[in-house]
Amino acid sequence: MIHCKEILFKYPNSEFKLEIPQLRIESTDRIAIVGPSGSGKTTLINLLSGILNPMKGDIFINNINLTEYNKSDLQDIRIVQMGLIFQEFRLIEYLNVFENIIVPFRINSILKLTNEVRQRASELAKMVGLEDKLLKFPSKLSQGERQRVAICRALIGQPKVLLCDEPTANLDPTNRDNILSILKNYSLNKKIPLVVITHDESILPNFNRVLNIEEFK
Amino acid sequence: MESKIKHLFLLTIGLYFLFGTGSLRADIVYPSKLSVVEINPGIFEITFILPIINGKVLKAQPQLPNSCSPTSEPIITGDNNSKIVRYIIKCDQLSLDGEQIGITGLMGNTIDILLEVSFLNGREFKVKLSPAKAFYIIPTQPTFLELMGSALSRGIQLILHHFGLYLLLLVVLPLMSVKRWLKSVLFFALSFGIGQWLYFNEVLVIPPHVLTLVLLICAFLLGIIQLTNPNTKLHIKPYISLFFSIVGLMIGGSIDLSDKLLTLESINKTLFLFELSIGVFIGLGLMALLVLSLVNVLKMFKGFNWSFFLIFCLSLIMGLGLRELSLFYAMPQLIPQIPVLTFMYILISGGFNGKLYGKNKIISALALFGAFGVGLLIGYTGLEFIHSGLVVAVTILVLSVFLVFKKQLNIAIHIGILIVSGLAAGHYTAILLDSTISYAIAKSVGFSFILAIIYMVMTYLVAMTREIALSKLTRKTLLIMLIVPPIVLGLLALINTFIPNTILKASIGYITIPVFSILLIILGLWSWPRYKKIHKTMNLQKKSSFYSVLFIGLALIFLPYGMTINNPWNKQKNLNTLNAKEIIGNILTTTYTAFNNDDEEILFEKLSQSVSKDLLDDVYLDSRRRLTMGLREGSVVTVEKVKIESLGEPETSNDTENGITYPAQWVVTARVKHLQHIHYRNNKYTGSIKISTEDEVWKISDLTLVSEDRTVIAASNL
Repeated sequence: MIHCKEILFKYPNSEFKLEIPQLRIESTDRIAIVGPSGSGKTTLINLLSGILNPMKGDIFINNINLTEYNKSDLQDIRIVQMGLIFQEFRLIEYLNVFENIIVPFRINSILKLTNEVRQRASELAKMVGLEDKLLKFPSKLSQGERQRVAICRALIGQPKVLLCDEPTANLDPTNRDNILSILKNYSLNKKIPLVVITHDESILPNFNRVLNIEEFK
Repeated sequence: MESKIKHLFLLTIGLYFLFGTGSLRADIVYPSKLSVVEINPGIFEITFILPIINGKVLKAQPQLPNSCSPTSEPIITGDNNSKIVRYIIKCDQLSLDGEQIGITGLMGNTIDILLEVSFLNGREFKVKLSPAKAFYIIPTQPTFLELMGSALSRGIQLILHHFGLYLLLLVVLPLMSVKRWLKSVLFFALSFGIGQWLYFNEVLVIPPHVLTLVLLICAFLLGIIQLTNPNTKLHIKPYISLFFSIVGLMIGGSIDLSDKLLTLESINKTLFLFELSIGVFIGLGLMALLVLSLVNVLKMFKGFNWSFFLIFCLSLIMGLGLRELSLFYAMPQLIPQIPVLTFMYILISGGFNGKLYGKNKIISALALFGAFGVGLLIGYTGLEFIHSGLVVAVTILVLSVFLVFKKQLNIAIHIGILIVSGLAAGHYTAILLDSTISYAIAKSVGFSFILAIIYMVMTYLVAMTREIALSKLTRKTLLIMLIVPPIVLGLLALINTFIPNTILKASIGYITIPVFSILLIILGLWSWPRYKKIHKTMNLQKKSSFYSVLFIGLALIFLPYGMTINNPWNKQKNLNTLNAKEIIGNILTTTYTAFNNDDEEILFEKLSQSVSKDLLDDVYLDSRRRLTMGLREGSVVTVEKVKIESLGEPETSNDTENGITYPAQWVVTARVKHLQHIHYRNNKYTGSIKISTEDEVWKISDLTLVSEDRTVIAASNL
């Protein structure tokens, strides 16, 4: 569950201001955040993921108040609690698909790479239809396949919330629908909230809640 | 398959004895000796050595049997200390049994003469003749019945007098079937005979006091295991014959019957040992009957409880064990000279292998002891194994950390580590024992058996912690009890060597920066897992500090290795007699211990740390000559200790640049090894030492010797 209370955020030396008096996202919610460019959608995702700190207010992720922790703690919270998916896939080109999926366990000392994790990686790859591409390198994959790898990488740590920033922006309609269906099903099965930033109105029927960021202005 | 491996294990143990050949007799020099050696049937070579005292030779003559007459002219050789006469005699009699050999002309003297007689049939006699008893009658050979009677009774007596065995049987007997017991007794008796033969040939030597303690410890641990584990009978079954074989071999290898065996013909020696083994078999059988009868009698009492009785036995064993240990406390020199590192290594690897199952466990034991045996061989043949001690220390640490963190390695890597470290441990043990104790090869074979028992017990205990349903606390306590002693021993060894060495160097102006250790400590602290509040909030598991502990442990091991630089904080102060004594003592220690290095380049480098450049060559040549003076060729001298006995008032002004001269008296204690025999000697020097500072470091700038006195120290326990 995500809960924001009395949030105020400003960039230094900028007129931009984001104020959120109250926002609750339940574990059953699949919410799309929409709004024009520069309205603060990405800022909101960065606030929810603890990358940015609000000037005022509290942000709770599963009852953990992000505003009470320092940068290092917030990094650990992100690793354990959140699955982050971006418009750019940010895959490591010299690692194969399998290695890319388990990469969070290689670079974060807080996570322990076990056989169970490796097993989970294979299962996730199967779930997104990449089971026969585990040994392929990112350069040999299509855009849709690359985004599916990025999704597996976000899900390997068994996140408690899924935060996605324009996850389908670079994809054709078939791949777009495919990716959305994967995210939606995962959220439904695991009963975790899904937050997606998008400017593509055609995908909105996939969500049970749509939030226009302009509403807070 | 498993039984084949078991046989192979026994064979490997047997192979230990193949390398222990050759004479290992100590280099004991008697001033006077009469040697009668049969070189052909009825032809004897006589060698008669007499001391020259104040330029005069004792007017003594060998007195040989009347049937013998010289066939060659005497050849007279000798030096300033002794006169040696050699000639050949021919005896008409077939045998000299019952004949008298001795010395005439000893009356009025106090000299003892060693008589050595050896015959082609293998009989040997060694007797000390004195003016009061200047003759010896060659004993007649025993008849078959006499030989059998004496061997049997000796065998029975030897066993029945061994109180440690009674207690061991009391604990073990109820766990065995009659068939298995008979098999074990048979193995025991045969191993005893083999052990005795090996002892006679000086291939296996086990100090008896150590053996008693080992038996008591085994009895105690087996009793404890029996009390805590209801399935002991099942677990112990496959090992019991092997266990009794090793115990038999150890007891055989601890009893000196050479006085009896030497006087027998070769064939009779074998016969004696065979009948001795039968005596041992009967003795152990009788002992078992006694023990079983005692148990049966006790069982007749209503309310007799075996567990209570076992606890009573364990208390008794513990009491006797403490009594034996007090012996070591009173006389620390009796402690077996197994190197601490080797002991720790066996303890830890035993524990580590205890985590394995079935075949892997046996293969690992084979790999370990096989490699250890080969390592001993490499060490005794003088081959190199780079930094074997360091490899052993690192392995101990790595295995302990694996044991504590309950981590397991892939079996191939596990065995690979054991082979490499086993080789290193064997090599390290051989090198250390060879330079510090007499009969090193024979004793290291004996020690191998003690280590084998320690290994078996350790393996069993760790396996037990895994198999029995113990509470978490008990399991942890048991594991700590097993791990802590080796760690403490390791730290003590480090403290005893590293700290005094660092203080010694610092006092004369050097400082060692343990670069590796510093890096490893930084790495250890950096990788130490932090368990923060947020981790607790998120219900994260505490991360294992495995790598951090490993790095910090390695840092401790690498402490002695580092860069030696001039101590920047070393300020040369005006010396008073007290700190001058300390500084000069340390300079002399550095100087003399430099000679312990075989490599001339390292020797010069170490020497240059405490001796001024101008004096380097002179000190090198003079000290080397004095340390080896009066020793036979091939003697190995190792400086152990340097002590300033007295230091007078400075003869020159207190000028650190130009030097201060002190009259001094100092003693250098060195260990001398020659022909497998070790003794110590003290070189006491009187003279004057001039010290001055060179690059802010105290060094000897002049050394004048007035007198030198050498004394040999008896070291019977070595």
